Amino acid sequence: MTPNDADALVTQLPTPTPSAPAPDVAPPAAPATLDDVRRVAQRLRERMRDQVMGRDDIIELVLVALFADGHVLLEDYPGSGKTTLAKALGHSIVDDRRQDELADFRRIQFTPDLLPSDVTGVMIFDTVTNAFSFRRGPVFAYVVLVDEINRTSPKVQSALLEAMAEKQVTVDNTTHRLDELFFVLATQNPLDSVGTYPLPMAQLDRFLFKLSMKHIDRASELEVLRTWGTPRAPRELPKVTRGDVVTSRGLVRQQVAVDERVQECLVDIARLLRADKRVRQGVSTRCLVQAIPALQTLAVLRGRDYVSSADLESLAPVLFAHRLDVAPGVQVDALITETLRGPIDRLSRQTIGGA
Amino acid sequence: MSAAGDARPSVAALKALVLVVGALFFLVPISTPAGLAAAVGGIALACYVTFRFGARIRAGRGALVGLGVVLAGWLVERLFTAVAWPWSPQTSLVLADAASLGLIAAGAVFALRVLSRRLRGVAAVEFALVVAAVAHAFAAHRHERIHQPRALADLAWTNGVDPQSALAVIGVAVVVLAAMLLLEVRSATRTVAALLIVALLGLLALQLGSSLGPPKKLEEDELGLAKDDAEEKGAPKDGDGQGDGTGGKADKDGKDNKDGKGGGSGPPQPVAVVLLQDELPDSPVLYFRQAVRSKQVGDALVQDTSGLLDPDVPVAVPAGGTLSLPSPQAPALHQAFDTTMFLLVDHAQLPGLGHPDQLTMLENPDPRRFVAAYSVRSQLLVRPPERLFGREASGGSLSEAQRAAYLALPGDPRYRELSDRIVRDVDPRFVGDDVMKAFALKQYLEKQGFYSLAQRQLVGETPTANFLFGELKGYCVHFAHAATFLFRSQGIPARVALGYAVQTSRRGAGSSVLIYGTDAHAWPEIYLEGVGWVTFDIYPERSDEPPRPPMEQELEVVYGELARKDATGGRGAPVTPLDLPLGRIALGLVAAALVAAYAVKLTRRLTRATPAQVYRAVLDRLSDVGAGRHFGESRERHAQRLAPLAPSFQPLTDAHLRLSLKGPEPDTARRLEQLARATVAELHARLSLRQRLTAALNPIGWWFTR
Repeated sequence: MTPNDADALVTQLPTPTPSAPAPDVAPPAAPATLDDVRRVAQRLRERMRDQVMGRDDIIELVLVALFADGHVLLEDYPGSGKTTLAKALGHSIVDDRRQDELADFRRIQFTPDLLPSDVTGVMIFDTVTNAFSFRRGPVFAYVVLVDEINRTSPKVQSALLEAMAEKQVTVDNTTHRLDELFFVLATQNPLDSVGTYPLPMAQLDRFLFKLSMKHIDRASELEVLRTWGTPRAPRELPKVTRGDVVTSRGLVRQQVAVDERVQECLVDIARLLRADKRVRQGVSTRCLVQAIPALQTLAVLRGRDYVSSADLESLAPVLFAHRLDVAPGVQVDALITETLRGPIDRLSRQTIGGA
Repeated sequence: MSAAGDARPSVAALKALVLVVGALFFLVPISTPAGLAAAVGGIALACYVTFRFGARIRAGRGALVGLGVVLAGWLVERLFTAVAWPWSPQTSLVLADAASLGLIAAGAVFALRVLSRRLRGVAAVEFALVVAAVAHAFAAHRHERIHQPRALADLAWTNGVDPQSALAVIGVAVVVLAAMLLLEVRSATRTVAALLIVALLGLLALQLGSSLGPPKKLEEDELGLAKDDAEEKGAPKDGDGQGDGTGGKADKDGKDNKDGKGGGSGPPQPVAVVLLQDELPDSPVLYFRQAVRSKQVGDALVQDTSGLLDPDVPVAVPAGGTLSLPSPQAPALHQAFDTTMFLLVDHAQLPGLGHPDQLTMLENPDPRRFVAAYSVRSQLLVRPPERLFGREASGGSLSEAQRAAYLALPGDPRYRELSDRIVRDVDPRFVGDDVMKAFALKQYLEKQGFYSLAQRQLVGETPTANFLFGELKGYCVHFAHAATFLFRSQGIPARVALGYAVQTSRRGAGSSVLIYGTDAHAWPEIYLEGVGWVTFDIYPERSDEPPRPPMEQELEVVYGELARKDATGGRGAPVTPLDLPLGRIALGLVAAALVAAYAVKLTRRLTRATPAQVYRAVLDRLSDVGAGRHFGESRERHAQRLAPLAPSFQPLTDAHLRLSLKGPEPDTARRLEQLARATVAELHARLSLRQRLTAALNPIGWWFTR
């Protein structure tokens, strides 16, 4: 049995089977400019919007996380389209590297009886070869949807943690590298807390964003009802390749300018948040490190090649909110918005030469 | 007081400061220190609460809560003062003051602040209240009452500063503060309104500044003395601004010395300061004679201008030096008495104590305050009139013409009939005694007369006769004329003296006397052989005049010390005699600040060396119309907000940010310049003429550019 066969047999997770053959997805050449990056992002966006309605803001932030090499925690009520969104993203990226034999998309439903090996993979004894071989777990994929992450035990959560932070899994003292494009979309339900294991702060810190999906607006909801269940017009939107995404990440990192004053502003915000009396635990330095690519990506998505105060304004709440431990009764979002004002004002003043 | 800038601590603090200052101005004269502290605390608390939680408070409920707190303050005050508490009454009062003022201030300010966040009209009310509070304090300072507002004036005096200057400086400071607050508004309409208000306040400040100059030559109706006496008495002057509608000759002669009608509004106005150089004579009333009326014309007496009569009364102000007058007063019965007079109001003739016989003009110690200064040597009768019995009033020492004039009567025979009837009842032992006759006449008028300033119906050709043979109801002028004619009908030379009569009981212990306009008086004088002119005032026993309010002796002291060239008004030793026109300096500073502000505005508008400066110039223009960036707003958001006003501003902002945060590129500077021009053109097209005008005039728009 080849590893490939084993994969197909054991994981029992839905394999991506696009209804129609994938069109010629690859752009003529690999992305070379920020405009190309924008085009890649636009394709992904179009595909996701086709599946998920009224969630443009969330889609944009998911794209930012994807290009910024971060992971996203989606928090919302059941039936609000979390899984649909993740699937839409996973199925939009095609594998252009057949040799690594990785799936485009995997979904893990976290349950209380799950074991770490169910996530990472396990060594099994092959009676034919009389040797142990590693059977890959579901994390060996480009996009992984982790459903209800707070329903499983901490040891499973920790196993995922290593995978997310290091992009590798270790089984029986053997380290297996995950793909460079390893993107986790985790979901959790904020209300049903019976029998859950809430993620500790340290683990929340591994997620670039925690996004709360608000209920969609009336028109979008009506549109969902109207189109639900009816076979869609076979509409084939172009996909993107794994290579596109990975190359884009590098381009964004290199070509989008982050001024020293913007960095100062970011650090000032973080320091102000830490110094605030209402905050019990402030944001980490890792958070700031991760914030830079996210800011760069958002700048690109908004058609700029430099990071500006508007990017800081947009991303600060989703970047910092889940990393702050605040005193009871304090509204985190209001606190962040309030803290932003001073540094943002200073940055804006600096652009016209102090004053 | 716009609500727009409330989010920033600096603006909120500034507003709180303005409210506190306004409240202090209002409360200092009427409150205890505890109450003041409580009020300031209450205002600060209310301001802080509205600043911190204002966005979450609903306007209506907030106002109700504020009113509730005010009501609670009132109730607490009642509670503290109406119920007997175990502690002392004074503690009760202090507690009541502190609790009630603190609560009332907090509640009122809270309600105002909360409402003004929502309603522009209330913001205007709030502003008006502050202005009114300050103006109220200034108003106490009117009418030469330079010791009000007391706390401030005392402080100024002790530091050697004229309180008028200090008040002017504060007024200017308030104006500047208000201007800064008002110009920090976000809509063009409000900017216009704000500029108007600032202009009005500026006028007010100018007014204050001009009041620092020499005092105006007051021509008050109340002070007939100050105006009318130097003029020719021959021509009747009906309706010359003094006539209250009585008309006729008596009006001219009588009305202009109606002893201080006290009507009108405001406290009585000081007209002169007297420094007493010697021990005060033992007399209940000090008479300051300014003019006399001796010449009988019809039913009235007028001033003699021929030079025949009254050589002992100075007619005109001597140009300088010493003016000696022939005094008919007998030296044996009189004592010389020196006083120094400082006129606060211009007088045509110089008033002097008793019977002046020597006037010496002095150097004016404070020309901004005093109109004239002179010393007077007076002759005062040392013997009471009761001890003058037996003296003759034949007028033998007078010339024949003088004697005839001093005895001239109207043709009406009733004067003689009446006086004969009165004199007939004199004790037979004193028949033929002129002084006794005079006393009998005086007593008749005092017993029968009724003093009333309200008497208006003394009109017609013969007002004195109407008064004397009618109801006998009138004021000092009527009594003086009637008495004079009665004296004359009994062969006693008499005349009417005009001037001021000051109650010595009013005086404090100091050696200065302040004469108020309400002290104006008229009284008869009779001429006794071997004595001279004797003051023979009539005091009617019945009167419908309310008693005079007690005078503040403080002002007397202040003016006295000023006259003595003590620049601190007797309040303490000045650190340095600072005699700067502070009001003008303040105005000058404001003007300089204005010029500087325009200079900065122009410089910033014209400096376009770097792209950042080009962008800044556009921002300045936006600030001028109140469309500046808010605190904490990112540039992009600001541009987005202004998109309807100037669509090109958004690409301009993007270009600017790109240049600033990414780095210069060959074409950006030129593109930025183009976009800036486009933005300005769009602004020009979309703003009304009025808005453009206010923008051009706004001196400190650039200050708010961020």
